[in-house]
Amino acid sequence: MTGRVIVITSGKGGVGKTTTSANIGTALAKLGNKVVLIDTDIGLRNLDLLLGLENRIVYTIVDVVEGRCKLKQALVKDKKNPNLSLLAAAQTRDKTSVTAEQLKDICEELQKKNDFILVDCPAGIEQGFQNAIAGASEAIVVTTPEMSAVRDADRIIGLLESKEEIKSYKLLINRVRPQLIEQNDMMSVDDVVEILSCDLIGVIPEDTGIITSTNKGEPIVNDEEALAGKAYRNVAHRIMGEDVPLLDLTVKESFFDKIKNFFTKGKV
Amino acid sequence: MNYNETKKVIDLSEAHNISELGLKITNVLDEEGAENKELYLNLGDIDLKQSQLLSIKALIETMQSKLAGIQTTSEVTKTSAIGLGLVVDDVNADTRPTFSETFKSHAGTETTIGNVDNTNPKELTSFSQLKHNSIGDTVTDTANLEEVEDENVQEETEQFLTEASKEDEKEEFAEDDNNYTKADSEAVANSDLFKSKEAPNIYEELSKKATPKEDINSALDVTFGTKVSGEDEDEEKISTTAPEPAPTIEDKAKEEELLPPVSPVAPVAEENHEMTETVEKPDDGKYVLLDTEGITPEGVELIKSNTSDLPTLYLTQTLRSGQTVSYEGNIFLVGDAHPGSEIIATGDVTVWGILGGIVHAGSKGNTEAIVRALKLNPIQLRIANLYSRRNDTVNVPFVQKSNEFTPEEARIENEQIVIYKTLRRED
Repeated sequence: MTGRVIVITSGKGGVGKTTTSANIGTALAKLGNKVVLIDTDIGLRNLDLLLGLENRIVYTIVDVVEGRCKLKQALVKDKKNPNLSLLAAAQTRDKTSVTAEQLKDICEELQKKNDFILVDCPAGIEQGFQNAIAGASEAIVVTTPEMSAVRDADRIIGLLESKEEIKSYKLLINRVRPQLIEQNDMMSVDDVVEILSCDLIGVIPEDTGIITSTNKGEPIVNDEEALAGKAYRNVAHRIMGEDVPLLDLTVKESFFDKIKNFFTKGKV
Repeated sequence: MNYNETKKVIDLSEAHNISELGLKITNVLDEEGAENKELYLNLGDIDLKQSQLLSIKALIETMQSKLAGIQTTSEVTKTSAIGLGLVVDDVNADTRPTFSETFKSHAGTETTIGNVDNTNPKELTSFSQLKHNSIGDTVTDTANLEEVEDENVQEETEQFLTEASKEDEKEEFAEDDNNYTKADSEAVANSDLFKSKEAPNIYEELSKKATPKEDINSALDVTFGTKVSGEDEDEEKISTTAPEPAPTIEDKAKEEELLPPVSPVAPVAEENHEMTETVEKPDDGKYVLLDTEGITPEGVELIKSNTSDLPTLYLTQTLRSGQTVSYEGNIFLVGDAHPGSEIIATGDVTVWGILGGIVHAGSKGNTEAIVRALKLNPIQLRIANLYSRRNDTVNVPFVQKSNEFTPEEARIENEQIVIYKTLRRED
């Protein structure tokens, strides 16, 4: 078995790389795949928090590369899903503690026994980024419909294209607010795709549930009701090669909303 | 104490701050096994306050040696030393007695001065007397001072014992306490400091009254004890008329048994048996043993040794995410340890604040090691070879900060980590 190594990156910080990693990883595991999540954000780790595994980490990726433990020992199993495990980053070290080759070796080792290896990339294009993409053959570029995030995504796509190992890259647009798009206050999904000229793998709506799920350490895909969770599940299906249509995010205005908007529109 | 004939000069002129000093002294004494010796320190130009010098003195005394004299170029240090009744050797002085010539010839590297005539402590004192007079008549009679001091301490102790319940000057004390903490923030405290010579009467009295258990040998008590003795020393020696700040404590401290009263008398010992009560066990409580299948560190030999014999690292800071403190000995942290931080000690870990990071006490396998904090909320709590994690049900990313704390203590019992809470008394 040779697993697919997918790096989740963005360039800009705060667009939702880690949230996306946690959710897609969980969703893929729920679909019966064996998944390993690798946090490469050494020194500023967060992925363990989002998965609620912070209290279970004993060994980190740095311990693995420095030979203090075996790779298997460092994998933290998820609370609910035994198919999902996490290779955590060290909090007390920095990005230089791991080299690109070492990460590549780890990915190759994990490929043997897993279906998917998702690499959560740190923000920026320095060593951390270079490490993260070293072992990957596919990439998901996360962006938000904001000019700054789109610019950074463009830069990242350029870097990914220059890397031979990266066979394919897909775009994921996060934190989309249909209502703002409708009012022409936000770039639409089509605009972003057009600017970046890149295949789309999913559109995730802004959801306040993300905040609570992050604080609880429970990925939102476990919430059957949440729209964002549904969107992430769809992304997981698409990664597995299924053809799932994009979620309908158009705002359904109720009669009451229409009246409300009629009175408030002119004021702002 | 029986001091050997041997004397020793330790050159510390290269140290820049007090923690370096402490470390160096400890190292030298450890290497040489320098027990029962009279030590002379070459302190170079470093400025030491009286309290800092006192800490060093106490540190040396815990190793069954005695600080007999210092050599310094700093005026501040000199004044402090004179206040403490130490022999001061002025490097710049033109006229130097034969003794200090010997001193000088050996300065630079640590050496043993053998067969020096002045082995009799009384003679030494008289020498120091002479010396002080020639320097500037600041102190006239060190021997007398020492007597006075002893009396004062005793007096104060008695006074404290009777007045302990009065709450007149608690605020004053609180202030003093703060000052002290700042002044000595860098000092490397030793867990046995309170046994220092300054308060022998007090300690004996205490041990007669109560059988001190090991539990109260906590760094907590000890550090308090030291602080107080340090303060008293300062005041009394500088002005012999010592205004006797009646030692009192905050209300809270009285209600909570763990907090020791001001004086090194520490009546805590008497009440020790009421001090703790089992509140939570790992099975039903906040902490569950980590599933250490395949991850338990190998080659850790379990030992049982008294942590109060170990040196203590004293820190006053907030330990933030990503910061690690590891130390061969006990760690005492005044401040919070935030989630993401790591505290690793071969002995006890005591946090005067919220402990939120990863903590590992007895990291070299000492199962007697204890973790204490005003609030225990670590992500992982490890003692020796036992690893426990916060239960998922209480796995909240933050703690509500409030003024209400019940100090907690974790230790190994029957091969599991048990957490004790200090309960308030009913009255």
